[in-house]
Order: sequence, then C-alpha cells, then structure tokens
Amino acid sequence: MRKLQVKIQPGCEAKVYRAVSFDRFPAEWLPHLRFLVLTETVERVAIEEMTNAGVSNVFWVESESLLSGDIVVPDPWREEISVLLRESDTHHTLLMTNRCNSYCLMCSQPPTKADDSWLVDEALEAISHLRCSPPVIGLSGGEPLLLGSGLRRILDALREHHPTTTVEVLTNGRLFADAGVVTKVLPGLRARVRWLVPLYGHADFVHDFVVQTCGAFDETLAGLLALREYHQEVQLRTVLVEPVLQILPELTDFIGRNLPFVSEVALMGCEPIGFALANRQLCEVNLRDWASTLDQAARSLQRHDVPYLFMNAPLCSLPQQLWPQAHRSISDWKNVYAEECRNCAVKADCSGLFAWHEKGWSPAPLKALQVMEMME
Amino acid sequence: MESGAPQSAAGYGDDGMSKFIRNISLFVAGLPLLTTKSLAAVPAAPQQIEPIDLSEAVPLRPLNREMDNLFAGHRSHSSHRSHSSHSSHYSGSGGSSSSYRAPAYVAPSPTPAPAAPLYSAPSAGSSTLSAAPSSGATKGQGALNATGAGQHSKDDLTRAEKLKLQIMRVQIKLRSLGLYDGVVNGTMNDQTGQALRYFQNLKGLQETGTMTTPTLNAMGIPAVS
Repeated sequence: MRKLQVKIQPGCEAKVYRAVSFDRFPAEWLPHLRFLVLTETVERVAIEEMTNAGVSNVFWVESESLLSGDIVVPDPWREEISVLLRESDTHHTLLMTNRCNSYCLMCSQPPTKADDSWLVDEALEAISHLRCSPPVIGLSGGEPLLLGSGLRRILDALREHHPTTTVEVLTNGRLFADAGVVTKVLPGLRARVRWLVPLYGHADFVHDFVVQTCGAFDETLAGLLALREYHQEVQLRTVLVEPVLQILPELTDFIGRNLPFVSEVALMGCEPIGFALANRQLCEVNLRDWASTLDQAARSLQRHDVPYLFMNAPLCSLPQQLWPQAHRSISDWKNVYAEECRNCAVKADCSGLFAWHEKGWSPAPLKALQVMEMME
Repeated sequence: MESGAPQSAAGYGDDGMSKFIRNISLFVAGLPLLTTKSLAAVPAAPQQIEPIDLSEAVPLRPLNREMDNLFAGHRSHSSHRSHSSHSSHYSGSGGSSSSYRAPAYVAPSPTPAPAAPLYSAPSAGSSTLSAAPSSGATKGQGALNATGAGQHSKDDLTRAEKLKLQIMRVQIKLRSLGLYDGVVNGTMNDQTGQALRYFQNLKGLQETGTMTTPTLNAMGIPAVS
C-alpha cells in the first residue's frame, strides 16, 4: 500500500476519506461520506471555513502525489497518508485481515494474531467512498474466511455499490470445510466472485508441509468442493517453490483428474519477502532450471483442458513456448524492472519483478532478450 | 471506317449522312444501357461507418439537461404557500426561470441490472462452470467504469432529500467561490438566492436566484435526480 507524505488539516481523523480536487468537491459532496480536498495553500481557508458553515466532513490536504479519487486513510500525527485504492491502478486490493490459519513457507505477508476486525469496517467505508467501479477488486489477507459473516457484508457492499465489479477473494478455502462458514458466506451470494485458492500438492504430505499446517490439504479440498456446490468460479494458485516444483506434474495431473471444474490454474513465481526470506533454501529457485518441469505441467493441464497462466514470472525465466500464458501480474506499486531489463525486447509484455527482488532474488538470473534470440 | 469521327460526316453523301445518323442514334440509344450497367458495376463506395466507441467519445452535451434538473424553479422558502410539497413549484412560479419548461418528473434511473450471471443456490443437478480463462491477472489497462459519484446511494433518496442535497452542493460551491457566507443547510434561503444572483451575474446568466440548469452547468454541479 502506498504511503505518502502530506500536509493535512489539523483535526482530521484516522478514517477513510475520498480525496477530491477543489473544483470537483462541491459536485461530489455527500453528507454521509468524508472528503479530503486537494488544495493549494491559498484555498485552505475556504475549506476550513466549511466547518463554520456546518459542513463537518471536509478537510484540506496538500500533496504532490495524491490524486483526485484516491481512497485514503490519513495518519494525522505523522503527516502521512495511506492510499487504499487509486482509480488509475491496474490492480485494486483491500486487506481483509492479517490473521491466518495457515503458516506457509513462503508467506509474503506473515500473519499476526492481534484482533484486526476493524479492517472490515475500513473496507466497507472504502467501498462506499470509491466513486468509480473497477473491473476487478481483490480481497486479500491473511485469511478472509476468518471474518465469516464480515466477509459476506463486504461482498454484499461491493455488490450494492459496484455491481459491475468482479471480486477476487484470496483464500486458502480451508474454512469452507466447515458447513457453518459456508452458510454464512455462500448462500444467495449476488456479487460476482472469483475465489483464488492455493493448492500446493497432490497429496496431503506435500501441501500440509508447504502451508505448515496438518489437515490443510483435506480442508482445502473440502472447501473447493463446497465452492463447486455453490457454482462459484475458482482459480487455483500454486507458488513455484522447490517442494512444489518437485511434484508439479503430479499436482497438475491431480487437478486435471479431480478438480476439472476450476476455471484456471495460476502458476506463480515466489515473492521474495516475508517468510520466503527465512526459508530461502526452499523458496529460492532458478525457474530456468525447471523449464522441462514447467513445460510438462503445462502440457498436462492442456491435456486435461484446464486453462493455466504464469504469474510473477519474467519472460526470461520461462521457456518461450510458455510465454503466451505469462501475465503481467504484479501490483503497480510494487512492480519494477531491473537494470538488465532496460534493453530487453519484450519488456512491455513482461511481468517484471517485485520491488524487493534486490533484497531477495529474482525467479531466474535476468537476461535482456533480443529479437534475434526469439526467432531461433 | 463508316462510323468514323463526327467531323468526317460532312464529307459523306446522303447515304453516308443517314448512316452516320443511324450509327449515332444507335450509339445514343445504347448509352443509357451502358450507363446503368456501368453504374451497377461500380462497387459501392468503401465507406464503412465505424461504430462510435462511447467510452472513448468526448461528451459534448452539457452536464445537465433541462429534464435532469428537478429543482430549477425552486425558490427561497419565504415565498412558499406549502412547505410540505415541492410539487407546487412545478405549476410555474410566476415569471421566474424562463428556461424552465416541462414540469415532467424524471424518475430516478433504476439501479443497473445485474450483468453478472447470478449464481443460484446449489441444486442437485450439475451445471457447468465456464472454463474460459479469466483475466485474473489483467494484461490490459485498469480502466474504470465511471458510475458517477455515489450514484447508488442517491437512488434511495426521497425527493426532499434530493432537493436538500442539491441545495447543499450549490451552497458549498458558492461558499468556495466566496459568494456566500451563510450556513450550508440545504434550505433555499434568501441569502442563497442572493448568492445565486451574484453567481449568475458574474457568469452573464439570467439572474433568477434559482438553480436553473445553465447555472448548475456553469457551476459544474450535476443535478441530483
């Protein structure tokens, strides 16, 4: 999430606001929302005056980098502002919780135990403050299913305020093994939801090892079947760490045979941050060493007619026959390219790297590709 | 040779002349046939009318049309007979806004119909999930559907609430322009009417002291409807 340094009107609370330009703000003003008006210094007074006039939901903010339409939460004490949603982004995400019931080897966002149920209210506010409906919005965590009916409230709010938006929920699906959670979330769900569920093995000992939790494999499968029962769209996600690459063809065969209803399988490069740094010997792989495994897995999925795609994998880390399935998947604010990429011929189509690849590693040694090489 | 160029016809005798005339009449008689044939043979001009991409098109219409503006004739409350119903304004408040014509009530646009296939409750039968690859990781631009600010919440407002919201936005705008220093309370008081006159005067609009459609357009404020 972007954090920006700003000057902000004293008295502004740490709640959700919509940033709006000085010109546009009278037209967008609504009594039940909160607004931060992007002002020049001379315009401050006009905004401060609004309080005297009985308009209490408007404050001024001065910033070079804040945009009209941003959904933000200010930290008035530090003169800092977090941008939850920005209209011009390609990827839009709301954090549901930082708690999780798994403890994955390569977790990019290690879970915490503290009660953070206020995040539900923050997300609800962000949804109602958002003035434009993005095509897709992601709900991530932690494990969103821990919210139970809270998650359903968020899905219903999205349906109400942004009926055209597709919602992507990142969940391990384990809690859907519990019929109680299923009843809280799925019946009569009207929002268009795609469930992004990780699966790391064709057998419990692999999956349970990767997510560091006993019984997770069985629960995730039960969850997938519950989603199937409610006709929900599922994307399986598999992070390409070493224990997974070892059994990848078996996993893809397993998916093709037992989970043919999934809409697609995403094979993802590991994000070198969080627990992945701690478990480097298991998580750091050179994808080019695994080219034949990737190819085998791809052919297995093709054979079973299960669509697949690669995420977080720069093109130079993949065999060229897999390029059409490689997507630019990294969120705008953490997406970078390395020095080596500067002269690369396919940079425009390449996922690039996570901003923190330098502290960690890249999915394969980087290489600028020339047009001649690609013709070979 | 006989059907030579016209200038050589003078050199022919009567015989030659009549032959020439026959030839030329034949030629002329053939003309319409030839023309229609040749016209039909010409392919239609390759003008393909490209459909206008409405999302890309620049809107040229004004922000608000007359029909959008429900409260154009709304005057300050001091001149009211009845406060309970705003419909009284529609009988035309004397010689006020000339541009205000139709007293038609425009129903608020219905909430957008669900474009999504609705997921029905689980049934015993098997249904197929679409296996089309999704754009989970979008390659394209993150273009947004502009649904208008707070559109959905506006649909639920009563008429009185809509009027109040529109007046409040106008009051806020007038305040930010320094034309109004009263409270923002959503009632069309005399001070607001006066501020509207100032604004209309500045913009060269008809000074009505009401929220006429040209006034709202000049303010950049969408009519609450």
